[in-house]
Amino acid sequence: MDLFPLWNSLRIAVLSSIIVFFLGIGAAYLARRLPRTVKGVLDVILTLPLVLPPTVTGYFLLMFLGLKRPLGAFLAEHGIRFVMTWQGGVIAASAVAFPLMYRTARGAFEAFNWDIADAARTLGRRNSWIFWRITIPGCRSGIIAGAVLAFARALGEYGATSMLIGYTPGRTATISTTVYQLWRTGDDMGAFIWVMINLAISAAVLLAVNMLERKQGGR
Amino acid sequence: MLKAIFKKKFSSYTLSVDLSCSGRTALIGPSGCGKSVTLKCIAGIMRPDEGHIEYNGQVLYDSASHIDLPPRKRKIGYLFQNYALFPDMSVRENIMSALHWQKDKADRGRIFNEVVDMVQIGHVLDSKPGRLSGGEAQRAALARMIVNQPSLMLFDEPFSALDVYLRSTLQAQFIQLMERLDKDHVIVTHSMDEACALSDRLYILDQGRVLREGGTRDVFQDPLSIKAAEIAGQRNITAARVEDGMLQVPGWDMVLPCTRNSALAVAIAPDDVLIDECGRPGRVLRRIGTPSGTSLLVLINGTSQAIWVSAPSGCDITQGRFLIPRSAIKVLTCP
Repeated sequence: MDLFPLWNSLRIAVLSSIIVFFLGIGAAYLARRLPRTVKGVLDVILTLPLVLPPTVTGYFLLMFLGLKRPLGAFLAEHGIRFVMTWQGGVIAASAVAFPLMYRTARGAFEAFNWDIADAARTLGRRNSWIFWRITIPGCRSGIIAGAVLAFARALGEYGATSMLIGYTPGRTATISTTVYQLWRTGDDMGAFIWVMINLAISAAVLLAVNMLERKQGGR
Repeated sequence: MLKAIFKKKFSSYTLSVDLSCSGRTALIGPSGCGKSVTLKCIAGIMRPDEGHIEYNGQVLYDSASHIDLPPRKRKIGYLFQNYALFPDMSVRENIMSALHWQKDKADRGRIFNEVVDMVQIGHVLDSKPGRLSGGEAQRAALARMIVNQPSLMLFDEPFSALDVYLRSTLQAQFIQLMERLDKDHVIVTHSMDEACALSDRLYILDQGRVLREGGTRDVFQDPLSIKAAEIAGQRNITAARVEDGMLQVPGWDMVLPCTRNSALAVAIAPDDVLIDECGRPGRVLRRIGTPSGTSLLVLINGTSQAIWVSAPSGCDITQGRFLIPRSAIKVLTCP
């Protein structure tokens, strides 16, 4: 059994989760300080991939990163290709998973008691210390939830991924595109095995997060 | 000396503050009048729209010359209403986090121990804030602020989150601590009792503006406006007018000589109304007894408005003679 789809899905999910983790937190943190109207517009733009069909997100990605498009052609000239490569899978999974991290982190920041951060400012602490030592730990439940949702979404991503990187065994195949390919070609048992693998990974991640939260709650 | 003259617009009102104070100062006013915002602007947590704030000659904010020192450079301590302790850190870590300015480890330990002894918080140093009582949380936050060695300290309703039975004990400890520290401080409160106990200078705020300012005792004794009298906790206020040089007080059936040209109301403190044989007869409508004294609601014969009278603890009279001394009546000339 070729385990490439497992390895490819995991690296795409892990890398896109890391990207989305920092981008989502950063965007949510900055959005908090924006005027209400600007924040409303930004919210719509940043959350769109959550409500759009993933194939539409994939279409937009192709519009930007396709080899005949200005940005895609420019990147290709510099040896960076996202179409039909596993790196493109990271971009597609990031685009689809980003709103989950952003919205959850934003909710956590909105619920945070900012008096605590202000108290630290009056005590002479720098903003970076406050952010990493006070704000992020204070919002950790929401941030962990966002990261888990983003990872799970990235792991199961199909629509945008198949639009941008297609299905090439040993090169771009992910668990979800492999399930579809095997089922389409009548290999029901092969598809079922990959479905179970996906289920097992997702369940293990959720279980680990629950245990982590319980451990933190008991401190 | 703190000087703060600034404006800040909100949807429902414009905060317009003009403070000039040192020593022990209190800001009192109803909810939403701008007291806490005033403190936050002084501390640098909020930014005024325009104005000038300075402390002991150092400009903290000046809209004209674009000066706006960040809170960490102002050396102003701020005790939040909810104490704002760092929830993931123990009391020890909370206090140590404010000692970052002291690079010498031995000095850091010395200051830490001194302040921990001073605020008597040694028994909960390893506890997280969530496990502290209200009084312990307040002292932990005080310790954290004191080790940072601010030159000015701001207190936003420091006793409002405490149970009533704890307040007087902690107020006494607070007064002792402030005497020992001998630093300028500004306290925001709803309570005139707290303001009287904790300040020498008082500002009464309403809807974003200063209604009355002055020595705490003077402001309480002579609030000048009806609103300021209400905020200062005056319980006996009744309508009045000036006619032919005489002050007419129909509610209390009194006519007094008056040097003012106009009056809207008069007020008298319950402590100033005397139970005296020289007074007029009246009957007690209601008696409220507390361990510290008794309040009587009295309707004096021939008057239409009942008046609160302070009486000694245990007083159980149902009628008597009550005297409203003319000299104790405060004339209120503004709404």
